Amino acid sequence: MKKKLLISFFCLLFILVFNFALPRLLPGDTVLMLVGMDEDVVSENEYAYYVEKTGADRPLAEQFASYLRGILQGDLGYSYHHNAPVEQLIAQRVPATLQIALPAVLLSALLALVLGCYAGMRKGSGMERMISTLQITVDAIPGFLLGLLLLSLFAFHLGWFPSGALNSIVVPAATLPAWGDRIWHLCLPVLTLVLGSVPAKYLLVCNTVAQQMQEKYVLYARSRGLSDSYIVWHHILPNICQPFIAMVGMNMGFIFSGSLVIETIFSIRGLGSLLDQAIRSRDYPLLQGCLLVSAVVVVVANLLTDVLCVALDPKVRCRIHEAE
Amino acid sequence: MRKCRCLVFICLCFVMCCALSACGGQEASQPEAGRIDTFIIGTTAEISSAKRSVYNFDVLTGTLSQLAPVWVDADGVYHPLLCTYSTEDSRTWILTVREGMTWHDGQPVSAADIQFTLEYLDSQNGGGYADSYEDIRLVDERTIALELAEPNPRHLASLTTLRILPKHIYQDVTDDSALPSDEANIGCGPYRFVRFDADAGVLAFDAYDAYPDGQPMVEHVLFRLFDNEDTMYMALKSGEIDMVYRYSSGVSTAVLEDLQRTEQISLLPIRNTANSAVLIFNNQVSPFDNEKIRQALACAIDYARFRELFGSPYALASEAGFIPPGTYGYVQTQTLERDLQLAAAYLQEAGCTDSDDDGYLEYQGQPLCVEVMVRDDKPVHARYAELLMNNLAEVGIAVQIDVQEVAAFRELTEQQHAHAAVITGLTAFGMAKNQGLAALYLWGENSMSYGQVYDEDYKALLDQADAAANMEEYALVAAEIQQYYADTLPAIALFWDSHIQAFNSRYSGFVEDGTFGLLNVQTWFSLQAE
Amino acid sequence: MGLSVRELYIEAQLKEGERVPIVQGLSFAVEAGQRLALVGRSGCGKTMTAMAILGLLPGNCHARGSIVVDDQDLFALPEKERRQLLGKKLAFIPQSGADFLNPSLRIRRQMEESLSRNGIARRHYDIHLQRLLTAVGFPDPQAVLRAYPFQLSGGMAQRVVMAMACAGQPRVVIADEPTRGIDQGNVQHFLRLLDGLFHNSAVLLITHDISVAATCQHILVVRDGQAEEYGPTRQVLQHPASVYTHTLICDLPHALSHWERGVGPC
Repeated sequence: MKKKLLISFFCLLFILVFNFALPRLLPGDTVLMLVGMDEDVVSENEYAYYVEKTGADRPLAEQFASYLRGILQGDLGYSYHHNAPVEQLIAQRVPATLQIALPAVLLSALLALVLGCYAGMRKGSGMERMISTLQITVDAIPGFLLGLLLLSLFAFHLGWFPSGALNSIVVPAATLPAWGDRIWHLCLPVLTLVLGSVPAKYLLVCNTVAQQMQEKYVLYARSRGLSDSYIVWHHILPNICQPFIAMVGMNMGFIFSGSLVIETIFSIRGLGSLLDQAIRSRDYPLLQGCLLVSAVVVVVANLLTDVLCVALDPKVRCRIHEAE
Repeated sequence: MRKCRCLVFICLCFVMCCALSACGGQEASQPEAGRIDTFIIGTTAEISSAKRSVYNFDVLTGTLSQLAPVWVDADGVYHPLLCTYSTEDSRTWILTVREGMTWHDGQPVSAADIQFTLEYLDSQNGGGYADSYEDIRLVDERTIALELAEPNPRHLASLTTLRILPKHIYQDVTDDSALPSDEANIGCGPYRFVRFDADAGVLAFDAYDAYPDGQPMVEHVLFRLFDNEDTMYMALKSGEIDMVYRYSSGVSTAVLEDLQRTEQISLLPIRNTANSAVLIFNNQVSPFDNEKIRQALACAIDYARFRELFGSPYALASEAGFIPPGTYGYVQTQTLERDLQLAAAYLQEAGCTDSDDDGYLEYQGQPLCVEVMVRDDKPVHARYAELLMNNLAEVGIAVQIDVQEVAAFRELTEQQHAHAAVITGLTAFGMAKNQGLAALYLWGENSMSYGQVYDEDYKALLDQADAAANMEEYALVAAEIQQYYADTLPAIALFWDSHIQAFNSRYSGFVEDGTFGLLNVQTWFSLQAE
Repeated sequence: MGLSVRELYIEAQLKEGERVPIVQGLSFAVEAGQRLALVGRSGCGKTMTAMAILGLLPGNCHARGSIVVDDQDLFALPEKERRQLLGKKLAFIPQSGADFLNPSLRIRRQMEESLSRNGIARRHYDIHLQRLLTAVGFPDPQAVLRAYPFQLSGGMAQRVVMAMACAGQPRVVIADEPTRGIDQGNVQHFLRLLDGLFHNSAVLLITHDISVAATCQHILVVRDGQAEEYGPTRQVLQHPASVYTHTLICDLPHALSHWERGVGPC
């Protein structure tokens, strides 16, 4: 556990140093990199202003110290394209991304678990082969294509779901219908993300369950007359939840990057579209802020899953208990 | 287990109810005959907030809620919008705010607002507005006189996008982002800004009752903001939105065919005064200082193929006069066509021979090679250059393509003029700058001069354009300038393309505006629904 | 009444399509209250015989013949009904409880499953758990119930699985090497427990340890899937008819400590 904490700490440190070093090491004018401006639009006065603002003329150690101090105070820099602090821009966009990312993570985990257990129990049967083939096929479809296909089918041909955004043009005034409206708008983007992220998890669950079916405790459980489905849900599940939770944690990063494409297709103004804008307009401070945040999210998510795994492992739990 | 199922079922029911009630809430009231209740426009323009400082938002308000003094039609003719105008000598311009014009908070629009706007924009942008006049005088409550240092018959061009600000709101504001959006967006157009909903991706405008020209045809105008073009076109096809719009741009050629096949969508080409595919010679360096060589190249290019490969189905054949139709003062000149025999004749006249029999010509003892510089951020420019290479190979001229990174391209061409020829695109704004008619890009003393033309005759014509007392005089000079281009060919337009606008076929009665295209104040009074 | 196996054949289908016989024509019977020891070296097909009775053979194995439990021919029953017998009429005690118990579940949870299988109401669980664990000799049943399998010693785990087999009143008990995880000193105690708990059931005790087999009424010696010798314990041990049985007896030095009298020279 200490080791994991240490690794996470060094990961974060590395990301911070990397983030600091990147604009300073890239070829080109450091000051312009730091503010994300093209040289042909920056006048001499503006340049001098940027030098002063970024402190690019001070010694590196001093710059790094003030950079670290800033990060610790939640200051991720200033976007000159948006004329706003980066952390403020990100904070504005985070809720939208979370609204699609969180349900997507949970639903895809649940779906992968149910399907994986169901198929893993019947490894080798026609049903399992069909589900696995389907999953691998869906996995092979790129996210943006999947999104467009779903959009074209469900929003435009069938008209069941809206074509994008997070709520209707006119939001119902009452709370309940307003919630419903939001959920109705979230359906397609979440579905796209879920479909895209289920296969990897499904395959893991399916194969682990199939493997666990060979274990002695399963044989014993069977010999006691317990049904196969009971065995899978109550006996195998606790034994596979560790690799599964670790996988879901790793998936957080994917969902963040995946939502980049999904948000654009569904015109949702979240972190993904902010990042997209930042890339297109070469807004380096914003770009770095976004990357830092998503890197931190991934590291923290991994750490959390590690902690959760440890907490769920009766062996470790008992040892800690005994130590007390 | 049973309890669990029950709970899930209840949750599902709840969600369904919510969804249904959400659908029910959108019922639209039936508008009276001929009028349109809601008109929805899709756009991929990036709008992060409803503030004047957000460029795309500012442009959109110009079609609805914020008025400039005048508007220009598709033929380049100016008309009153917020103001009527007059001038005696093209030097002093008198603007009079039209009778009954009020701000959306009820205050009358006054001449002082115009003066304030010019001064305010100067303070925000570091000059270029009020300080471009020699004198600004308030004649009366509604009339202002703007006096230029020198006569400029085309001065109204700079007033088509000058959206007047309400002085009583902005006079003490230095940072407009601090203003609440309902106050900051008070305008004087036929529509008033209602709200911006980032989550729904919607900008909403409602008709303003006190607009002096009466009620516009549409009650509510909505912009739906899309991040993705494909989604937007799908929404257009399904009838979810009524038209797509992007300032100074049209439907992308990639989806054009698909939209053409869709029955309920109408496509309308509008004038485009930009010159999006041009070959400009550096007229100072050999061999392009030789007019015969330029003529030969102009005859060797396969214009039809350019249009076929790169243009929309509405692309026009370009003319030797270089200035696309729709520009004020445009005259028709000779259409550019491929004529290989004529090209060969010109080359012979210029003294080009193939003495070493390698299939490529020599000029003045050197192999005749056209070095074309293109920028790397517009890959299609390099493809233009490749087609040019194929075309010119047929008359024995070698082409070398030099792809440069944007910054280097600008440095080499605009600053050092170290290029032999460039293939690039010229914006409508740039084409109209200085004396207009691409003078910015061609007259050698201008900083952005790709053409490097130092001809005294050309200079004399530009001086005449500067001195023109009114638009009629200017038009006469413009015709001469285009004839000069046609005769000497300092630059060649490869093809002219229109901006294609797409909208639902239920609608008709769009008016074309020289600045904003199909979305403009006139359209709101003439739009018809089936 | 009890268990009766007749002409049991088990074949395994190898990947290459080859069929390998595992058990060939085993026949034996155990009456209620009796114990039969199935003795043989590892790999002789003892465990497969047990699995065939339970109906839990691996997917690539096939059994035929007849297995009758209390007048019910198991092979004639549909799969589902056969599964119904498990944990009720038919109880299984695995080799080493520590390996066969689910490592992630507390003992209480796993024992409750067995109680629930036998239709015992939830409110009676505590009494039954207390009774079962006390019966197998745990002085503090609550501590055991709270524990995870890895917190128990081999012997404790073995007593737990025995208690679980006892949850119902099984007609037939199949114990597969039940003494494996237990140190020598406790084996006899354990076997006495087994005897006491299942005195009404037919017990099939699978072992390679002749000393364990010696506590049973009958012994069936199996060699390469075939019956080598079958008879009352005393007769088989004192006058082994086959050399194989003889070597089995001699392989186990400690066997002598109990059965030195009358066992032939090794």
